[in-house]
Amino acid sequence: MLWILATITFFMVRCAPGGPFDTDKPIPPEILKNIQAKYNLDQPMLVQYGHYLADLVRGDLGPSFRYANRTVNEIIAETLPVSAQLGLLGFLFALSIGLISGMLASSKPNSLRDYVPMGLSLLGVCMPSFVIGPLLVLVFALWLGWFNTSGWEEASDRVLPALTLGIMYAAYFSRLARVGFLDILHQDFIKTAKAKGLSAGRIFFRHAFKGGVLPATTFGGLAMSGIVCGSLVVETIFNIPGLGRFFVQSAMNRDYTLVIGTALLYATLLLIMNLVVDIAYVYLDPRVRHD
Amino acid sequence: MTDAAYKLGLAGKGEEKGTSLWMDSYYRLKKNKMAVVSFFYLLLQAAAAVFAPLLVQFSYEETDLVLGAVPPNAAHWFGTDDLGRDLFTRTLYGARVSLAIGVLAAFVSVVIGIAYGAISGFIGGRTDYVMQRLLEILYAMPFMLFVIILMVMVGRNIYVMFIALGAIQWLSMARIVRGQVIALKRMEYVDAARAIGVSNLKIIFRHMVPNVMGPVIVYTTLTVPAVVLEEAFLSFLGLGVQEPMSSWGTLINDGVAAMEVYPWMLIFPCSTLMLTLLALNFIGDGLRDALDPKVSRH
Amino acid sequence: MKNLISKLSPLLICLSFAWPALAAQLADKQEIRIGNGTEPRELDPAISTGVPESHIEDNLFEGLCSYDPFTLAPLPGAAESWQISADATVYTFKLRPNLKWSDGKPLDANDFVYSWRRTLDPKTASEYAYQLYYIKNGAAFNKGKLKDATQLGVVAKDARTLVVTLERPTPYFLNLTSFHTLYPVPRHVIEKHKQGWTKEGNMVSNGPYKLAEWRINKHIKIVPNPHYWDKERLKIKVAYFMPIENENTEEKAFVSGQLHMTTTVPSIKIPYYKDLKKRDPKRAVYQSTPMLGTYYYRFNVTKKPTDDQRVRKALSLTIDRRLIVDKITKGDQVPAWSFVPPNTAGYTYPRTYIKDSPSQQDLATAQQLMKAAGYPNGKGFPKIDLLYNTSEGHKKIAVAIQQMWKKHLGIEIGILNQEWKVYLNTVRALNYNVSRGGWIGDYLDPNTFLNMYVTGGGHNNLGFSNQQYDNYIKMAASELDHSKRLQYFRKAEDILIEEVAIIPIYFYTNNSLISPKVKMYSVDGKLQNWAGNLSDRILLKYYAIAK
Repeated sequence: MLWILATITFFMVRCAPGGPFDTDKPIPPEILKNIQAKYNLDQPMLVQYGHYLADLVRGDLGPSFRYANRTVNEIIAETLPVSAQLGLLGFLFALSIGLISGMLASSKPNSLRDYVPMGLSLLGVCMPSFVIGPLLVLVFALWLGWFNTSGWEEASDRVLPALTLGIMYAAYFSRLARVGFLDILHQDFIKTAKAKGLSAGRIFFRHAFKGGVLPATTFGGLAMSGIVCGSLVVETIFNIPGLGRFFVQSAMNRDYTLVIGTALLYATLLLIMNLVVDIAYVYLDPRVRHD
Repeated sequence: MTDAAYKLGLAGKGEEKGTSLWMDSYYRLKKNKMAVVSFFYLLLQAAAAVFAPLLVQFSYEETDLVLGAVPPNAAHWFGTDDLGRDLFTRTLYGARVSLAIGVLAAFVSVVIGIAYGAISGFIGGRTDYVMQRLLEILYAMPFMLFVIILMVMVGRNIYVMFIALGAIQWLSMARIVRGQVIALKRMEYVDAARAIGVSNLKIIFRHMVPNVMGPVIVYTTLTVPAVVLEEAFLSFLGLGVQEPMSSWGTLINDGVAAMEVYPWMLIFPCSTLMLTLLALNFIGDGLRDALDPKVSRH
Repeated sequence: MKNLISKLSPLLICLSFAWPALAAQLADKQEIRIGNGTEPRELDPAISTGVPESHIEDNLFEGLCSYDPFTLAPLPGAAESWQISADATVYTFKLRPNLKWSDGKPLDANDFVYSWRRTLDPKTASEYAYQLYYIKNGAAFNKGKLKDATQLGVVAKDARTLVVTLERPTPYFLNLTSFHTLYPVPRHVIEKHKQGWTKEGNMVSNGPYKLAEWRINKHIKIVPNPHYWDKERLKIKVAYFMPIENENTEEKAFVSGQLHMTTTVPSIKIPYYKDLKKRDPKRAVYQSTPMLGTYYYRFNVTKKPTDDQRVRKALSLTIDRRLIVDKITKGDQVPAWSFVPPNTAGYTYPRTYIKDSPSQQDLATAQQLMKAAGYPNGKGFPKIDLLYNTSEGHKKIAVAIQQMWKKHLGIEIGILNQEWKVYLNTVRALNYNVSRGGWIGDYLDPNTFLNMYVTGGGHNNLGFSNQQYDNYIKMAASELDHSKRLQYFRKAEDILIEEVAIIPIYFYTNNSLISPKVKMYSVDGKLQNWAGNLSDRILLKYYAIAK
C-alpha cells in the first residue's frame, strides 16, 4: 500500500515540469551536470526509482535536494513533533468543544440551548481558516496584546493556532454529535429506560453517550486528515516550524525526496489513525461487533 | 405465493411512505422559516451567478488604477479592489466558479458514496471486508496533498480542480452510509422484507436508501461548503483560479491581505461566502428535520 | 605593559569612534531579530545561492575584502592590504596576522586556496561556481577540462600572501571577494563532517559572528565570534534570523514587536506606513532603498507576433509606468527607461523614447506602429499570453498592463501565471511571447546586466541575437579604461532598447520595516540612523540597538 503510494508520488513529481535545481540565474550546463551527478539525477528514471525503493525499505528517505546539509529523515524528525503537537491540540479542542456543545444542544432541542451552540458552530463551518487565523491575530494579538502574532516559542503561542485549526472541526463535531445524540435518544431502549423512571442525566450518560458519539467518531478519521491539511495553512499563518509548511514549499521547489517522504509519512499516520478510529467504533457500537 | 407476498409487502410499504411521509415532510419544510428564506436566498444567488453578465454594468477585469480602492458607494455597491475593479461584479463572477465547484463535487460524492457505502454495508461479509479495506487505503491517501501536487504540476486549470476536488469527497459519504446501513440492517422491517424474499438490490434502493437519506443530506450540506472552502484553501496556497477571473477563494485571500487597509475587500466576498454556506446548512437542517420527523417531534 | 594596553584597548576604541554621549544611548540588551524570508537551504557559502542565506553568511564569514555597509565599497577584510599589477590581472593580497577560525584554529592563505579549489571542484557541484570563472583556468577546471588544481590562478606564496591571477582585467574583482561564493571555508571541519559541516555544533566560520543555533523553520541564532580580529567593534550580542515566508505574517510580527526588521512589506500596507512616517518622523519604521535591479517584460523575438520590432515598440510605448509604481508597487520604485539601473558604477543610460507616462503622441505612434505591422486597432492580432510566475505583485502588474494594452491598442491578451519552476522552464524553452522578468545585479557593474543578452548566453531567453551587440560586450570586457568601457556598454544598450528586446518597467527598491531603535555605525565609528544599501546586504558588525 505504501509502496503504491511511493510509486505514484515518485513518478508524479518526476513528471512535473522543472527540476530542483532550476533557478532564476540559470546554471551553466557543466555545473548542472555536476549537481545532477551528485544526486544521481543523471541516471535513467527507473534506476533512480530502484535506488529510492531500496533506500526506502531501509527506512532512509534520502537527502533533501533543497536543504543540502539535511536528510529527509532529519527534517521530519525535527518538524514532525511540532506538527503533531499542533494537530493534537487542535483535535482535542475540536472534539471537546464539539461534543460538549452537541450534547448541550441535543439535551433540549429547539431551545436557546440548541440554537446558540448550533448557530456558533455554523459560523465555524462557514469561515475559511485563513480568515479566522488573521482575525484572531488581529483581535487577540495586535489589539488586545494577549498573545504573540506568530512563532512557536512560548506555551501561549500554541493557543491561537490550535484554536484556528480546531474551530472548523469543532463545528463539524458538534453538528454530528447533535444528530447522533438525537437519533439515539429516540430509540426504543432509551424510551424504555425513561419509562422505567431513570433520570435524564443517567440515561444520557449511561446509554445515549456511546451511541451519540458514534457519528462523530466516524468523522474523527476524516477530521484527522483535514487537520493535516489545515496545518498547512495554520503553520504558514502563524509561522510554526512544522512539517506542513515544508510540504507545499517542497512541492513548489521540486524537492523530490522531501515531497515523497512527507506524503508517505502522512499516509502512514492516517492509516494508523483510521485503525484507531475503527477500534473505537467497534468499542462504542456493539451492533458492529456482531458482524 | 412468494410473488404475491412480495407484491403485497412492497405495495403496502410504498404506499404508506409515498403519500403521507413525503407530503408531511413538505409541509414541515414549509413551516421552517429559516430553510425557506435560505432556499430563496440560494436561488437568488445562483440566478445572479448564472446571469451575472446581464446584471452588472462593470467589467470584472477592467482596471482603473487612478481610482484605486474605494469604499462602497452608489456606483460600486461593494467598493473596488486596489486595482479599481468593481467588487460587486467580481463577487458575482466569483460565485459562478465557487458554486460550480461546490455543486459538481458534492454531486460526484453523493453518487459514488451512496452506491459504494450501501452495497458494502448491506452485502456485508467478504465483500464488505474487501470494500472497506480498499476504502481505508484510499482514506489514508493524503488526497489534498495530491491535489496540491497536481495543481502545482498542471498549473491553475479550473477543470482539473473540478475533478480533483470531486473525486476526493465521496470517501466519508461512503463510510457514513455504510455505518447507517449496518445499523438499519438489523431493524425488523428489513428482516421482514428479507424473510419474504425481496432481492438485495431492491432492499438497498427501496428501503435502505430512503432511510439513510437523513445522514446523507446532512453530510451533503456539509460537503458543498467543504468543497467551496477547499477551493478557497487552494487559493490561499496560490493555486486558485487564474487572474483576471475570480473565485470567492481568491477574492477572500486578497481581502485578508488588505483587511486592515481596505476592509471591504474582505467583508463583502467573505460575507457572501458565509451567507451562502449558512443557507446551505439551514436547508440541510430543514430537510433533515422534515425527512426525519422523530428528531423534531421533541 | 602589554596587559595594560589590552585592557585599555576597548576603551580607546570607544573613545576613538563612538562619542560617549552616543554610546550611552545604547540599550543594555543588544539583541536583534530579523525577518528573513525563507528557511536557508544551506549555510555553506560556496554552495548557497539565495538572499536569505547570504544575509546570514555575510555575518558568519569574511572574505579577503569586507565592504562599507552603506556604500558597499571594498574595505580590508581578511586581507589587510593588496596590490594590483599594472595589467590589472594579478592581485597580491596580504592577510592579517594571526587570523583564526571561530574554534581558535589558525587561518592562512592556504585556506583560501583550498576554499576556491573546492568551490570550483566539479564534485562540489556549486551553482555559483561561475563567480570564480574570473580567475585563471577557473572555468576549465570547473567544467572538468582541466584536472590539475595547481593550474588555477590562486596560489599561497606564503602563509600570509595570496596571489590571484585573473583571466582578464575585472574591475569589480575586489567587490567579488566580499561575495559569499569566495568566502574561506574551514578545511579541518569539512573533512571531518563532510556534508554536515554547517550543522549546529559542527559549524566553524571566520567572520564577526558564529552559529549558535539552527532550528529548522524557526530561527538561526548567531553570537559574536571570540576569535574575530575586529571583535571589539561588535555591539550586537545575539542575532536571530527568522524564516517567515508569508509577508503578512512577517508584517504582523514586526508590528507586535517580535521583529526589529523585515526586508519585505506587503505593498498594500505601504501607503499606511508612509503616512505614519509623515505624521511622526521619529517613529518612522518604513524605509525604501534603491536596489541594483530592474523589473522588466521580456519578449520572445523569434515567435509571432512579437518577432516584429514595431509590435514590441507599440507595446512598450503604451505602458504607463508611473501609474504602476504609484498605484501598484507603491514602494518608491522608479519608472524605468533603461535596462541597467542609473548610477551603476558611474553608468547612467540617457532617456530615449520611454517616458514615465505615455503622451497622446506616444499613444498615436503606438497605434501607427500596430497598423504598420498589420494590426490596425488590434484587428487580427493573435491571442497571445502574458506569462508571469505566481506572486501577488506580478499578478497585479500583469492585470494592469493587459488592460493598458487592451485600452490603447485594442488587443486581447491572456494572462497566464505559472508556478516558479514551470515558468522557468517555459521561458527557457522560448515557449512564450511576453513574460515578466526581474534581474538583480550580482556586482556593481553594467556588465552584470548587459552580458545576459549576448548570442547564446546562458541567461539569454529572448532568442535575441545581434552581432554588433555581442561585439560591444566583448570589447568592454577587455577594455582597461573605465570611461571607454562605459561607452561600449552604452552602445550595446542602445541596441537593446531600440530593438525593444525587453521592456523595462521599473527599477527595484528594497522596502523594509526597521524599528527606530536599530542604529548603524559608519566605518569610522559614527552612530547614525539605519540606512540600506544597493544590494540589500546586512552587516551586523556595524549595527546596534538604541534605548
